[in-house]
Amino acid sequence: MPPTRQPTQYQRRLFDQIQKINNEILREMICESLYIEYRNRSALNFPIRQIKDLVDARASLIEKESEQ
Amino acid sequence: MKFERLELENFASYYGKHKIDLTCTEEKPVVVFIGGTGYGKTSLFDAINWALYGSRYEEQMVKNRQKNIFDYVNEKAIHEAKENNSYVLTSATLYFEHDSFHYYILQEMSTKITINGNGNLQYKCTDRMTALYKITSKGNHEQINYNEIFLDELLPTNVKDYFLFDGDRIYQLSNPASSKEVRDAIYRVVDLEILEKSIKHYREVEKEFRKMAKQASTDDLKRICERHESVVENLLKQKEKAKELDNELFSLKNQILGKEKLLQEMPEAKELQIKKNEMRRELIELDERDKGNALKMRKLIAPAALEYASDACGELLQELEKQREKGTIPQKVSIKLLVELLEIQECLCGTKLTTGTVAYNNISEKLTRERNKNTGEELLSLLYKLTGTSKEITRAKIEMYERAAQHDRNMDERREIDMILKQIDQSLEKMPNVDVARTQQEIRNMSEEKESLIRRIERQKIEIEREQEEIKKIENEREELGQQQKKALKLQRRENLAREAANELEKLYESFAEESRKSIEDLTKKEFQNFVKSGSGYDVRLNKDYALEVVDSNGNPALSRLSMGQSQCLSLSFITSIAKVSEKNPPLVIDMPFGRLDRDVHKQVSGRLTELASQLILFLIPEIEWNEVTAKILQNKSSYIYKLSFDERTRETAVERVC
Repeated sequence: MPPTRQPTQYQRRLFDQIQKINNEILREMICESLYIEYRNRSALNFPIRQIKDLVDARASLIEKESEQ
Repeated sequence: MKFERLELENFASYYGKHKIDLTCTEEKPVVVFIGGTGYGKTSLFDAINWALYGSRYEEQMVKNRQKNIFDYVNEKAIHEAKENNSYVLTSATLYFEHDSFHYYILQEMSTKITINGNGNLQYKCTDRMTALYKITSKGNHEQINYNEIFLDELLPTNVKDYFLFDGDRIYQLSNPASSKEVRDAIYRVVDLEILEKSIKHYREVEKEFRKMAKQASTDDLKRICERHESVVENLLKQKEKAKELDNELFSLKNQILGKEKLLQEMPEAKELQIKKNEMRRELIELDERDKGNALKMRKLIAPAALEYASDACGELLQELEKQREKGTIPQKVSIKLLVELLEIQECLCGTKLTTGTVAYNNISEKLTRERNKNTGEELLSLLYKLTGTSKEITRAKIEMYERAAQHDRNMDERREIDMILKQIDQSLEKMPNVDVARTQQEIRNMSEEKESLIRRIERQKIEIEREQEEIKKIENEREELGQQQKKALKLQRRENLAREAANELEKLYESFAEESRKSIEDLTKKEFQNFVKSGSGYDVRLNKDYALEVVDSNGNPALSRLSMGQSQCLSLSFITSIAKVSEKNPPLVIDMPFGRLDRDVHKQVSGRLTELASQLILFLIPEIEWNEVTAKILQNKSSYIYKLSFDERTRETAVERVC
């Protein structure tokens, strides 16, 4: 969501739909990536690196958990 | 956000400096500018847009109106600068209040005027400034970053078209051929754009990890990775193609709708076109009914198919019946009763059944005997089951026949409607009026193209499914080989994770788009009732193709029966819904809102407009828009009414406050 605004009604509805995603990892990833998208919605060069890092971090976490 | 003041300098026909107060009170939220054609109303509208969005608005003006910013440099100032060999300073400054703070945005441009070899004037921008200031509580002017995040919070560029717009937009939106614009509005305002971008970014990350995984693998795994990459690339291309075909179909459907509307407006074709629409509606309803019928038939297939076993089932039943008559299958003896008697240790006749007594032992032996007859019990139960099954098969068979007959009747009706539609098309094509015949011919060609496109889309879907299956197979193989090459496997996992996120977002996009469409449909319906009191007999719908539809109380299409004023109110209802859904609540700025409206709806619309936003700025043409009806309503609601006058000789606009 935009950092300076309260979420609007439709943004809350979108959030409710995200909550319905069963896979917890995907759910959290999608939340984080949408936050990045909102923050950079008008940026001319989107920081794609942030999405890549997000995927990498989540995958590392899964790997660590499966090792334990 | 509320606008407080607009300051202009050498902007369009506004020579020198102009300060225009826009402050409104809650009771009087309207500011009106009255001026004839060419008096500078649209220039004020452009000045507000330019002040807020700067170079982005300039790009929009070049694209939509083939105008560049130099066209807004004041003529008299240009003449003076040319004479004095100096510069023209052009600016627009908008003061506004937002979240209890006061700000102003300034757009300023210096233009040097020269004369080229052909004696024509040449403009060169020598300095350009965009600045955003916050006025602190101490009265200091503190410069803050003019950036997109701040503008997004105020009013994102992509949503502004629903707050700052002109009368033409009101005229266009209710046209069935404008469904693309309607779809775009929903797409922008509920942030479907963000979801789509996110899907795209995950796909890019997925691709990058796939490449890295390929580079990290060797031998067989490398070959599999290469194969995987090529199939995935192909799948993405197929998906892209499917999307293009969908868009092509969407646009073709719009074109057909536009042509049909045109046909309906031609007096000779009107009746036939209305009949055609009714027939189509019947066809849709018939298809829906047949779909329900087919679903029920599908459920009946399994029990009805047992008909093949019904002879064997009947013979078995007869055999079991004979056995029962012979006494092989016992009449049901209640084992349960015997067990209960032993538990309560008392017989029905009152004899005590204490453990070890003769009576107790007799009952126990009886129970053992009955239990040993269990085979007979099972056969009896089978007999009951078979009897029930046999009845169920007969029932399913009869219903299946009835439903099949219904399907045949539906098909006959369908053929009949198809025939009528064909006859209507032929009659339209044979009409002596050349325009009607040609339009119908165009519709027929487009419809054929549409059918072919639908077939291509179906083929494309099959192709995509085939590719997806292939990818699954390759991925299993790749994972097995990847187990031996850890680094490649790690990267594959990341690629898979990015893909899963993109797929999940795609599903989310579909359901959220549909939910948003429905909620905007509900809002538009409500707003339409507010705008048009006589419209309570109509139901407003936003169909799956995002076209605004109106149906009467009998469920028949009624868009064509709406008066021009009513259909413009429909557009305004949609704009209002979009504005409400966005929850931005900025001022509503409308250039010539009543220009194309019927005079009979001026009262309703002007009354309703004042309730739509916390601040309303209107640019009106005298007589046509600012008349006794609108003036009566707006005067009491206006904080300021300005009159624009234009001096033909000096080509200057003067702004005079009249109220």
